[in-house]
Amino acid sequence: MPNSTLPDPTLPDPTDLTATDRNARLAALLESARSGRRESLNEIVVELSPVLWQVARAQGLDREAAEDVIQCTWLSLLRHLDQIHSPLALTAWLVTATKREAWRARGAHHAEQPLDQNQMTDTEDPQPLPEELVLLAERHRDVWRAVRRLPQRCQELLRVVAFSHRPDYDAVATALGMPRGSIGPTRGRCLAKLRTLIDPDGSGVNGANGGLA
Amino acid sequence: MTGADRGSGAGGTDPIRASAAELLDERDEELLRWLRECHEELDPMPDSVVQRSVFALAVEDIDAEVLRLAEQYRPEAAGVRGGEGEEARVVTFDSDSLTIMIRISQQTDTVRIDGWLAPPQACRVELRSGERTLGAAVDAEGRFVLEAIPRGLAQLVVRLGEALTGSGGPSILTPAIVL
Repeated sequence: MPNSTLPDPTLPDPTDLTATDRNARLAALLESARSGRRESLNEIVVELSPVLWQVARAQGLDREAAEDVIQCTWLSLLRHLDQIHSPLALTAWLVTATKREAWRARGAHHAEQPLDQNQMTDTEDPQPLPEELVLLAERHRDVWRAVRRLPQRCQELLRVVAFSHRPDYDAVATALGMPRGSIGPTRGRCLAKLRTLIDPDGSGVNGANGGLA
Repeated sequence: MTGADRGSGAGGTDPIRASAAELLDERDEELLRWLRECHEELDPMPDSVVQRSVFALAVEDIDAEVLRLAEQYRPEAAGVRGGEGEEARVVTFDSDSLTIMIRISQQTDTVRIDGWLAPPQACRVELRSGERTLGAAVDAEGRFVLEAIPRGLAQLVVRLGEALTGSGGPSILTPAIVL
């Protein structure tokens, strides 16, 4: 898709966009923000802050510290905007910066919980908190129970990927320090593990209506 | 992005390995969507993330160094009672080259900031708030005072060169905080 040609600045509504359209829209916003339009930068902030929230929170920052870190990431972007030329590079830069700042902040003081940096091993702390389950809709509870039994790295990666758009998945994983390994993307392994946890004998792998409920 | 080793070296029947190499299917997408809904339910991003970021990004200094919020506390919370010094709060920002500590105290309708900048140097600070921008000189000991600040979001901008040259020189920004 020739996204490099500048799309019409009268942009379509962001709600029902295909991945390509979204990419084109983000590319146009980036181009416009680089030329100094703050309104465009503001739209990018609206669009990408939710992913950064996941990155910061998955690093163990409390909510207040996560908010500070995200704001500093956006401010730092001002200086680097002229070096960032594609939506993919933008997402990668923002995720990397947020993770690095979160590490720093966590080292300083705000740590809410120690993070398990084990690779793909299961943790022995798999129970979701009762207050979490209460908040969740019935149909989400089994998924959440399974998610909490995943290794910490998988929880972190899937959490961020779940708020990303598909063309960004690989870039996001790389920015989180989990690049594609020799047996495929870590994302694939984490999702496969999640599926086995939800459905141990693999019988329910039959599309959208599989035995989740 | 290294696509170098998208290997096929992993044969075998391990179901995790087998399906990890596959592309996302509908079921994966559904799981990711549900996971997203779980997080939105359990840990919703506050609106203030976008509000504060957008406010801070309206600053005109594009090539500025960014200070981090390093520490925040309320000194002698139980001590002072009544009067204008009530509800003081101390916030520290820092970067590799500069630290700013500010003491924020509530006055009747407005806010006062007593600030201290280290390493000390004469320069100029500006405080961007919703309605207007206030300025103050920083003395050679690094001290400055800003008064009659409206409540709400605010951001400090330090202009290092200005005491000497009147303009120019590097600037340093803080994130936006709520006064």
